[in-house]
Amino acid sequence: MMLTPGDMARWSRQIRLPQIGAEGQEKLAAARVAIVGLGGLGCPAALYLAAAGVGTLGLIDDDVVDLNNLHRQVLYREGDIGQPKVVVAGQRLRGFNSQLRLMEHALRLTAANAMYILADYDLVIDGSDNFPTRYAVNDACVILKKPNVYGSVLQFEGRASVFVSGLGPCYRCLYPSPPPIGVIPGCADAGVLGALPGMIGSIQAGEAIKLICGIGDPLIGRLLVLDMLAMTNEHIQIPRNPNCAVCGDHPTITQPVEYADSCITPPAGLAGEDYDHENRMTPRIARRRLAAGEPLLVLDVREPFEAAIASIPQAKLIPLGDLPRRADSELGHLRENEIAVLCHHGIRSASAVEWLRSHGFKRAKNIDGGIDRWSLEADSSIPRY
Amino acid sequence: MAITVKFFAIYRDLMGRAEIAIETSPGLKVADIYTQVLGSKARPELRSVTMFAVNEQYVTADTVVHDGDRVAFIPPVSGG
Repeated sequence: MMLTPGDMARWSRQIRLPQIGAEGQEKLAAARVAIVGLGGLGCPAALYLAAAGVGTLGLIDDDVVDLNNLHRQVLYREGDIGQPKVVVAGQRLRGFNSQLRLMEHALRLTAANAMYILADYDLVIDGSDNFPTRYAVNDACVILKKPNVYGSVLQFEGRASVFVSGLGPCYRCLYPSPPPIGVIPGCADAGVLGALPGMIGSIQAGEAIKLICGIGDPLIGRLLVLDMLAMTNEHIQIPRNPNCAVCGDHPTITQPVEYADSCITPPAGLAGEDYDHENRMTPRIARRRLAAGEPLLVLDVREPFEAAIASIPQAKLIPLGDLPRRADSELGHLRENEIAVLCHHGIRSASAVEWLRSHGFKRAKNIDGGIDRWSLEADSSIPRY
Repeated sequence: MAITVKFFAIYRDLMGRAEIAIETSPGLKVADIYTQVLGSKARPELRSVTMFAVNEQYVTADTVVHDGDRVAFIPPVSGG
């Protein structure tokens, strides 16, 4: 791909880097990069890759822009709320570079479609926000032999690595299978500082550019763990696991594996049957039983600022972190009672149920899907956040 | 012997701090350190998905820890 004089002028500050030069710029123009997830990581990664002159970007996301995205997802503005992310991101990126070729995949990457979609690209940026997609990306990249530029964030902590089959480990070498549902909180439950995905997404863009141009030392065989609060980082040396199920010497996984997603809240009307089991129930049942005056305590384990945004009037608020200290004095008389535990999406409450049950509250149960699902299915007057 | 244990992600929330310096007996493995440090907060389903490192090198839980080592508990995070 020959550069025009206009191209030379546009990328002059980059072309004058001896490691890049006109040759590197031509490699970038010929490159096809898939960006899985257009959230906190995917926005800055896409922005810098488009600006750097990557010729083709594949944008993969099934979500629409939400108000709570704007503090970190820098491609979107207030007027974009409700619009599909791939469409809005595509418009913004075209504004950077009218020559950019965009493939808009308005869908969720899954084990079922990952091979088909990613086969068209040279390199994949994993900016997804859930474990099933991360494993689908990893498995497909190993099988298709595509570099997987990994990033993830939570609270003030970011991680990045580059997984290249044959040269180093894959994601499964570090984490052979996803955690059980409810064990690991996501950003919606645990929060994230907006600038952090900006840093990690930029690192992913930089690693992708290095791989495309064949320069420097990519993060292969190393996991960068960045602690933004202390502003320190660790470079964990990570070996390939010869027994890895997908990239090991005798792989047992030859197609991406599908896992259940602990973070997806079923949309209203598609949630299936209501249930009221020994240790879990749906929000609709909880509301019905409260309305009937049954002696059911709803224990809200979210933070006070969340309760100020949206809450159930009858609920008692004890943030998860305070539960061990306050349970005896404030709930001690309810050890024989049913306690239905509520949080935002049902993850923190699952931890609370586990703790309560192991501390004598034998009838604690989770309200699956949390107050978000309560709002969707049981009471639309409760705001979502 | 003295070692430092560094906590990441959910372990920080569980322990309420980023790291801890402990005195421990020679010959212990990473798995023993985990049990000792987490105490009643240990959860098998969390431990089973945790990656361990000693001195910034990936290790398995049966690796023996030495004086002055820095042990890290690194759970998976999915946020993006």
